[in-house]
Amino acid sequence: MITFLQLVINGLALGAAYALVALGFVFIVNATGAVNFAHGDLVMAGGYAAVGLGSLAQIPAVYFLPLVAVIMFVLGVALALLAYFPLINRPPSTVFISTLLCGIILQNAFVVLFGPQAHAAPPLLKSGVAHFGEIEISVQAIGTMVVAAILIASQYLLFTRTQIGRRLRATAEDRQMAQAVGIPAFALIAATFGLGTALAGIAGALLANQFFVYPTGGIPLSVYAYIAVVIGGWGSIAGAVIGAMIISLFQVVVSAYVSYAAATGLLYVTLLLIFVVRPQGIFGERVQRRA
Amino acid sequence: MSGLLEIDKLCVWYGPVFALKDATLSVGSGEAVALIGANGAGKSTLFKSIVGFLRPKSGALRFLDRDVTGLRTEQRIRLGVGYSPEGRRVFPGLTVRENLEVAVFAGKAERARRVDRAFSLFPQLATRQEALGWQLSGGQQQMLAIGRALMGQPRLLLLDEPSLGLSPKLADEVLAGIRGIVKDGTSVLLAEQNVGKALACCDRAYVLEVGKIVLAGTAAALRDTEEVKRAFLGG
Amino acid sequence: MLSWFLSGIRLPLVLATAALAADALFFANPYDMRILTLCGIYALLVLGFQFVFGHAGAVSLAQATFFGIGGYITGIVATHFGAGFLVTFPLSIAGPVLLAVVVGVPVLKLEEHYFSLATLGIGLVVLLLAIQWSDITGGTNGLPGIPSIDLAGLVLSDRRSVLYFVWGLVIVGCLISYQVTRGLYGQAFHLMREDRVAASALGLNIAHLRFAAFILSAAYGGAAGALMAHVIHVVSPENLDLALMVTCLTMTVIGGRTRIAGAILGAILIVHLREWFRVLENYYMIAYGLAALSVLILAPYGLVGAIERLRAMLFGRSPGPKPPSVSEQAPQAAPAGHYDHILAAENVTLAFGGVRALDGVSFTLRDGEIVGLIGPNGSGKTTLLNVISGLYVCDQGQVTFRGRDITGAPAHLISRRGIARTFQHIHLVDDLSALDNIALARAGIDGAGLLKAISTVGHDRLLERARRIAMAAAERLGITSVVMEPCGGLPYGTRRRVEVARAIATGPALVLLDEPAAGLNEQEQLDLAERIKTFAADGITVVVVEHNLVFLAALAERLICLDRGKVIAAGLPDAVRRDPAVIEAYLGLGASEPIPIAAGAP
Repeated sequence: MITFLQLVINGLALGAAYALVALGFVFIVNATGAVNFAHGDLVMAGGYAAVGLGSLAQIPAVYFLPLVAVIMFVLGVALALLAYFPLINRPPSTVFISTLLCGIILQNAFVVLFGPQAHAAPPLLKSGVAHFGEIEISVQAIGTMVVAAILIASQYLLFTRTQIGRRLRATAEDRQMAQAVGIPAFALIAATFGLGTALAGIAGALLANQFFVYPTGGIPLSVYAYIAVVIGGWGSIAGAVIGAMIISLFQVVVSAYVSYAAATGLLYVTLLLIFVVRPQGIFGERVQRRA
Repeated sequence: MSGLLEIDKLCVWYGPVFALKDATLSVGSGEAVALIGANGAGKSTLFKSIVGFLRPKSGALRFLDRDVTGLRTEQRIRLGVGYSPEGRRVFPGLTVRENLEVAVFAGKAERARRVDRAFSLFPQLATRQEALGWQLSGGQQQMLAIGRALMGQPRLLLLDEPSLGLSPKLADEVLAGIRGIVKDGTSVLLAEQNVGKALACCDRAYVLEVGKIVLAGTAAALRDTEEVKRAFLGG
Repeated sequence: MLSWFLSGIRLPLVLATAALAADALFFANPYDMRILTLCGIYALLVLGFQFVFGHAGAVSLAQATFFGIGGYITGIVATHFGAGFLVTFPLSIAGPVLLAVVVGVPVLKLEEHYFSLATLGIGLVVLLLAIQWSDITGGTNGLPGIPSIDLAGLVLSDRRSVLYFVWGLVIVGCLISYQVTRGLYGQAFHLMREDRVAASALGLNIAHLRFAAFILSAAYGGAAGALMAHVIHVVSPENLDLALMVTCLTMTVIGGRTRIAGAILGAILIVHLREWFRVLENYYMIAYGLAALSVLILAPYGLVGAIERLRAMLFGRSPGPKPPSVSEQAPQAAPAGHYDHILAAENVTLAFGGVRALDGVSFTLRDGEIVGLIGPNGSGKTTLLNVISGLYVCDQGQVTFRGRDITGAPAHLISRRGIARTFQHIHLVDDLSALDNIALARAGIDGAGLLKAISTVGHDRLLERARRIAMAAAERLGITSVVMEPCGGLPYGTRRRVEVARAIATGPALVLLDEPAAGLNEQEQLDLAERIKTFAADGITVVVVEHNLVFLAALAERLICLDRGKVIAAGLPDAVRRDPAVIEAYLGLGASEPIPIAAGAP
């Protein structure tokens, strides 16, 4: 029983990390409707930024996390200028491909800048584990969960309670009409890419301590973020968190009983079955428009 | 009286066909002007050019004595234009209240005040504040679109077919409400297929036919024009 | 013949092919030949992907999976059982097709991202299987030692013959793709991709079209994968993975989503970009990504579109085809048996989010009559048309057409039984000519299908007949002078008439017209009314939704008035105009005059 509980805790810790990754992805989806397939690579970029800053000054990551966020914000705006704005009136699959290409560019830039090997970033506060009875959990994992919880809650509040969140949603639903009520849609979209990428960067900085960063490490993360957001229901923040938890549940808990590969296989099979039952995802609403 | 909105020889093309040709018109402050014409005559095209959805091929567009052709849509709106588009285009995933709130650029108290005023203008909306945009009936969406256009306290309100989807009684109320809006200092440019009603609530009117302005004059004069009677009033 | 070559992209294509062929024949060293062979294999992969992505408009992420499965089947059957190409190749096509058939039905029902993710999930499961099932697949190392192509004893061992063989198959692939897309069947895809609502209302079965596209993409993917296995003599999980899928997507978008030449150009450019940038060593993939991104941004319609625009700029547009010189009336669908009323609606009820858009609507229609459906905006007129034509399913009630219950039947079946319609908002394909938009009315009814399309020799008779029928319909609406123009450039009123012509071209027994006179001036309205009367004279029943009572007065024999989802009056136009309930709905309480025959008179 203790081992099972331990497994669930480990699953939650990994799930929190994945939720952080999915959070930036769903942020851009909610504010622009665009699928950013460079997202996983941007998470890695955040990890590399933490590695670089950590090697300059041997201090805990919590002190330079804001700096990572700022650097990544700039990178996100650059991504929007390069891969989103020139294609804003094209079919959505075009942005899908432009971000994939940006991902390839980033992956290879990592090789050039940091080499093909894996790196670890400094911990958020300190390394080590905390004990709760017989359950043990690393300090970094606790930190990740706390940061994830704070950011999930703030994003939720931003979108539902604030004027800027409402405007972001209005822009995603009908950009032209948003402008026609006075919303500076293009500036908001650029800021959205910046913030979504800053979120990716924070996720990367936290992940880079436990799971390392390496040039191609972002590819599965893009896929996980996409899976989490789709099974949760396109654009639902709660759905994305649940989706992230489902993925980590399979990777940690299920894989303890069957092989890792079988668990991953089961995850995808489960995902397909979810679609048979709920083609709109767990929290998704069927798109409804009156004719 | 200097014009609030001055449009001079505006031409708009969709690819090889023109949608507007040499449209010249003005709206002064404190007046309600009707644009009348059949579906596809170019009324919506004109509105879209004013707010900047469409880029005219030639011609001048001045608002408050300022050339606005180079301005982005949101900049024109913030200068004091309110736009209620054809087809309503309320934000489907936002609640009624949110639809109104996004269009207010002012502090929290002022925002609440303006939203409340929209609710008092359209009491039906007040009862459905938390409903999502897509869940509203067509008529309610129309009210929401008009309410949203008024949120910025515009100098000029563009109403594209506001009576669509409204019951005749409510349509009458909205069109009658135009007088009140004008009295409060907002000029109105109204596109309306229901010619009799449009002429009844506006001071002046322009008649559009296949992208060209073919007649202009005071509402009273136009009502007695043979062409208008024959083409629109069935008389 | 000469003009055929000079039109569109054909001339540059022929020249480029000749140049490449000459290069391959006379100048290529073995390394170049290998590269050109790879180009051919990718071209096949992309040709297949164009069916599902370009023609059906669905972002499938399973194309690399089909490619990999094809490769593994060739690898396994060739190395474990020593079978030759003539056995392995058909199996390598059949395997992916089988998978597509099995997963296609549930997966193709999903929309957009859900479809993409489901196809991605399938790909990841197959990838895992390939890695884990190492006894058969060789695990992560893959299966080495796959023999060269062996055609019943004739072994293609040198690179030149492999190059010719692969490109021979590419030509076969191009021909099949050309056959599928050139005729009426190909245009059906065009309509479905642009406008699903119009496609179903014209009798096209969207599920079938999507399924066919998915199967074709699987077949091409399998074939390309099999060739790759033979050419590089090894098959590994790399043949299945996401990177390959990304390459395939990039080639397709950069070449041109729906163009055969685009598949070839995209494959050649992307393969060569990587080769050219190899000198940059570590930076080469960065340069490749930037170059591909630039092409994506600068050529909105792919390389083919860019070349065509350039040609049009330099030499002007090539003259378009001429309209057909003969026309043919649309045959009318025969009734299944005896019936009393051509259409009977009984207690039809439909609610949206608590609001009753239709509330117990009942009425009947007789053969050959013209009925006006009136009512204030939002009274449920269009919703009623949507229920009759099968776009909406009513919550309660029954609709009977020619004695058969059609309640809840899919739109495409209702259309094929003889109900045609037009839309309040125009549903035409902007970049097709008016004639072809009208001709598409025949695609569903005349049963344009995949096998028929592939086996058509010479002119597509279905398309030619459809165009003759379209011409007749255009004549009936008086729009023959503009039929060869793309619909997007036609004036609003003309486009409305194109829609009416398209409805008539289906050969309907009942036609539902939603505000057909909108955007027409008074003269044109009278003209249209006369034309609609001739439909009724031919026995077609007509329902016209209209606000414009001037137009209806000249046309309708009977009026039905809806208000808030209910029939509040029905009968002769004069009686309906004087009905107090109708007056109240239109003019508000207190009015007592009959509604004047002009909507909106004071």
